[in-house]
Amino acid sequence: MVAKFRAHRNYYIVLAGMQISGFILVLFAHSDKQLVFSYVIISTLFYILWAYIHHFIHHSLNAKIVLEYIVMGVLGIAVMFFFLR
Amino acid sequence: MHHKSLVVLAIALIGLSFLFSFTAKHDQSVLGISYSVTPDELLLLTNQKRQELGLSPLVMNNELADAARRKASDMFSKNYWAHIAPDGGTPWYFIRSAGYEYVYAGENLARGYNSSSDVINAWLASPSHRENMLSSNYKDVGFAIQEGNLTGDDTVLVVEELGNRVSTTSQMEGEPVLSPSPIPQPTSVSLSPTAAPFPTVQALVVPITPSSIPQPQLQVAAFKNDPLINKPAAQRNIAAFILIGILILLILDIIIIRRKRIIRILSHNIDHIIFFSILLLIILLLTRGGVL
Repeated sequence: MVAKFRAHRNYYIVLAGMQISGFILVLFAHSDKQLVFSYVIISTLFYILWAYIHHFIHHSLNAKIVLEYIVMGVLGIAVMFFFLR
Repeated sequence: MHHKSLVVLAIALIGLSFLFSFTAKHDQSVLGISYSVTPDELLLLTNQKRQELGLSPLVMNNELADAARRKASDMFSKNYWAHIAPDGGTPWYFIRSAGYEYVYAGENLARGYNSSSDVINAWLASPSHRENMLSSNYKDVGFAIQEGNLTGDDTVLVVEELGNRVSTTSQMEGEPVLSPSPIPQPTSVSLSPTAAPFPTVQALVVPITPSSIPQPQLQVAAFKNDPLINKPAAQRNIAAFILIGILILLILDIIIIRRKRIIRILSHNIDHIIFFSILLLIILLLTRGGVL
């Protein structure tokens, strides 16, 4: 796991950077929950896009992997939808 | 964590969300916002703090309370969380339209707090709000507490209007007096410090009539509400419980795979852990109320 992390370190830095950027946007918009939910959806879309590009570059992209990230993204959005509604 | 079970969980959450909204809309005694914020408690706690610092206590003023109610109603009807309304209306507009002629005036706002002490503590923790609450320039105060939906959030809004009448400081008449209030002014406002003690917004404000004053979106008869289930707390706890559960499963998966030396060609647990951790942080952040 550590070796895998080291090998893909730059990708994880990009992912963490994107997610932290989304978090900072939420910090600024915390009083407007509609805007917060919009930022959550955008962050999730970036997360799925990041996974797609990452696996495409490493020639490991297939339908099952794409489905996995989409399902995780949908679950994340569903949790936030429940929380923010 | 199979895909099917995760999709079922997502659909169940969305269904539960609509069930919560439906129940909260039709029976607030079962599902609603639990809070206990009263003007008397707010005044008592404010004056306790003022007296600790040797300041004179504030007096509850009906006109300022009316101004606070008008401001709260305006915020709900126009759906904004700010001192200045989207149409340029300032706090001074509401204070004057309630019939309170001031030398000094200020405004504090709070939302999402469940008790009077939480509101007061949040204001005291913010330097500009603290300065407003503990200013010797103010003699009168009025509070409004209203429940409704503000910027997509079912919340309890607290408006505090502070003031000091012209008549009580007649010796200062004729002198330009600047407001100690932290409330920002719109750039388009024309300042006339010699004509009035505050920046005037006459060019922007439509003369009011009683019929033009917006009514609150959800008027509450009492300042306390104690439903069977506190909706915001239930939503936060369920959402946080699910995210923590997913994170635990993902971490356990990493540990088990490592201990049993199972060879796995592809593993995306770290990706998912980063994603869900940020969502959990957002939930923890948004459970706090806010002041303005």
